[in-house]
Amino acid sequence: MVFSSFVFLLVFLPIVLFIYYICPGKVRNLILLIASLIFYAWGEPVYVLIMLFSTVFDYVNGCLIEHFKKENHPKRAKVVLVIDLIGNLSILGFFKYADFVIDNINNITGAGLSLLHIALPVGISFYTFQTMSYTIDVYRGKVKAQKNILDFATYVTLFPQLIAGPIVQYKTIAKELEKRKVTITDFSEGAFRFSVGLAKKVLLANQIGSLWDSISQLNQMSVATAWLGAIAYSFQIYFDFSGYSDMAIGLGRMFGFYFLENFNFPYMSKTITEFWRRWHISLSSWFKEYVYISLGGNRKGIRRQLLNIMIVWLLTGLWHGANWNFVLWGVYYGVLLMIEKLFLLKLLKKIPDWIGHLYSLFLIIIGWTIFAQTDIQKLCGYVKTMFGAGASAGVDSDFFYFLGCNAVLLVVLVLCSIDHRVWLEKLLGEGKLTAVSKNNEETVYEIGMNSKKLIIAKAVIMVVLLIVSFAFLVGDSYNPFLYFRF
Amino acid sequence: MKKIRITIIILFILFVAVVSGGSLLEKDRSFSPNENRYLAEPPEISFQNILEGKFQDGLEQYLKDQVCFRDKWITVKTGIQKVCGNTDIGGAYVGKDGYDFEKITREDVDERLVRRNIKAVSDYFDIASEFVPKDHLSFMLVPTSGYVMDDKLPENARLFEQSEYIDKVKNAMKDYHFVDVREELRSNKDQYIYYRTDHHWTMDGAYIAYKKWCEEEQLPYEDKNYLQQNVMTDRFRGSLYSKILDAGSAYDKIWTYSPAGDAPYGAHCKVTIDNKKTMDGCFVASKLKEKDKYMYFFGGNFGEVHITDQPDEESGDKSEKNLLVVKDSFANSFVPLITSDYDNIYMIDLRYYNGDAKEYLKEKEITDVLVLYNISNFISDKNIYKLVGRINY
Repeated sequence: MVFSSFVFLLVFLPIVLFIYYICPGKVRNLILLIASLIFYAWGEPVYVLIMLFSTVFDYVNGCLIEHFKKENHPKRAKVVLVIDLIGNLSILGFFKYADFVIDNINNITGAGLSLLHIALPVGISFYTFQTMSYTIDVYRGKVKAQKNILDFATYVTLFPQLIAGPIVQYKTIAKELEKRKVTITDFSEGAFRFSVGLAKKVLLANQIGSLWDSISQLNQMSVATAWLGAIAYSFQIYFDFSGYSDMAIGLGRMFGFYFLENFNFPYMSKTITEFWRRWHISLSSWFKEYVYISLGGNRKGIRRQLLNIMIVWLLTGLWHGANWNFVLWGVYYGVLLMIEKLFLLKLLKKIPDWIGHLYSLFLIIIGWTIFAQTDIQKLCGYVKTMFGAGASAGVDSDFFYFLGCNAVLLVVLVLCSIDHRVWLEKLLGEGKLTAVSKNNEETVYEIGMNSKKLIIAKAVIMVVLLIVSFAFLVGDSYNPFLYFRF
Repeated sequence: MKKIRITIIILFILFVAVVSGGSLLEKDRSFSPNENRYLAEPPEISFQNILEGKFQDGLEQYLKDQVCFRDKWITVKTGIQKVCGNTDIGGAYVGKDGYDFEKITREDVDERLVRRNIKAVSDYFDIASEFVPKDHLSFMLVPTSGYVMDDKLPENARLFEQSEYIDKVKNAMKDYHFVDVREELRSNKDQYIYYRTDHHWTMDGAYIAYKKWCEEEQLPYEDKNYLQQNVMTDRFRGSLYSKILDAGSAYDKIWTYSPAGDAPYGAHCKVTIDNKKTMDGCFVASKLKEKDKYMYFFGGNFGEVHITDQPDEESGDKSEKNLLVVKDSFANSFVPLITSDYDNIYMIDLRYYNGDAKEYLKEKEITDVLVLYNISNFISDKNIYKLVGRINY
């Protein structure tokens, strides 16, 4: 099930909220667990078994690791951890990468092995990373093992973040799993946040996505059209993904969970290093915490650090999908980050901000172009067109048509990509924006906690966004049968 | 502050409850006239269906189709898109002065199919030329409103180069009579020759083609100034309206023409549909009450329609003129104008006709053939090969 489906909005959510709130606190985790299993099984009736297996596997391993640590058998604890990691990565590897590996073996050796054609279980990349964070943290002594399998299963399957993140680490919500309380502020902020996320997905991402769809289907295009398409895709992926994270965070709060922020106006970045602190924060912090630092981070000299960066980015690329363009995309960022680390960062700090913004956006847009196309040949053609090779012209009437149809939308997209908290704070006066959580180096603000005007504005905005988003959702389901042509 | 927060919560719950409860209470509709399709019914619950995901997909489709105020939601969406300056809505273009247009871009054209269709017609004419003189084998290819009324299209709107394709067909028909109506239509583009909300031409558009046809076929015709216009409805919203679903959309008129003091063109003949149903005249007034009012002409499209000017069959007359029209729906408003010029007109629509089109020529003693298509149908119709009964390469 996805949040922007009719089944979720009109059936699942109201029923779950209703049952959840009429039941006493003790059974609420059980209700969430059952709801989450239905949520998952809705699209993947069989694959729910894999998730349940993962849950039991990691639960047992967590308990074992803690047990061996208490008994002073650090080696045995380590063995269990290794088994756990191998187990999790094997599941992920098999379902996500088996066909990719076979395909490449075939290409290199001509062996002609047949593909397995396994459908990828939805969300598997997210929940395996979550459960791995749990066992590693138990091993590192950062969290206590969860003794109650029900609570643990609730964590693994928690539907708000199940299929598209954010990657919620166990330690973030460990306390809330056992005891949590939903205040009126929590629920209203959650509802607002969910509506904003829905609007981002339906009104912004889907709409600009259709521009990318039209442009990517063209056989011939001008340089300007190619850039417009790449920009459209950059907006689409940001608002789609961050909208989904907003919905997850909002839903979490409606059930009393505080997830960490996943996006922090990434297109405001002045460097690529900064971009990756602002984009998909839960993933980059996962890789930083569990891979980069485990490999030694920056403590073993610059050469080892560069190698570590490359390893992390190769893996980050692969994590996004089993395809060479994702590997290329990962390497692309690995190289950029290495260059920045070596000298560029110092240089960028000295030049005016706007050059930094331009530099970052340029590279980010090229990055998304690589990300968008799984067909390497088409990808190369597209990038070439962006730089004039094989383009039909510099600009053409197609470009002006696409631009005209989407001009207002593009303006809205730009405005929504800008960090509005800066001018809101100026507008409202100091102290009206309240910091609510610290997420890595970035402090994340929640707007207008203390401003009555802003809360009223939120109520109005929420209703308008809900109505308009729903109109677009219904509109997308409208498909006249093409008899009309006759 | 707390009160406002509670208001937010109530508003959120109210929204979900109203839409969800409203859809539950509202009676299911079985048919959507605008989309011309049956709407989904509740899916069947069974273990097998759930395991295969059929139940889940079915429920989603059912909710989408039966959500309360469905058409209202869609007009809200269209309204917002229009305000934002988007002119590409629902697969159609929103043009100027209330005109909507079909959106067919160059990516939509299947070159192979175009070649195949052109070959089918020219092969058919080659065969037909054994019985019918070559100058009696005619092909009229009607451009779309977007080509003719290009000044009303949105700026820079993307359309396929239909003039190129019409030239291609014209070239392939060199040995035969190609009726090129482009110039005549374009020079009248400020007239009401295409519907605003439908992709068809109006009676005025058809009349322009009729005039050209008569001139080239040396048939007499009445000047339009002497004709009387009979408006049958002014509440027509056609196929393009259905795609865009704009609440503020214009309405179109449907009309016929009659010579001074006489019944309308096409009203005097006897019409037989698929060898079964017969009716007087080419018009079906009851269709004016339905959604697709263009069906006023002949009641829609049928495999085989026989139109005869002589209600009392007088067979054996060797000088009979029998016209075969191979056509799409554009012919439906054209053919009423020519009914009195022929003793018999046979219309076949290849989408529904499955007989042997070659045998048909002999069987009906055809003396003239007119292939009449709108260019956008001609390049996309997968049934034209039926003319020669086999797929060419």
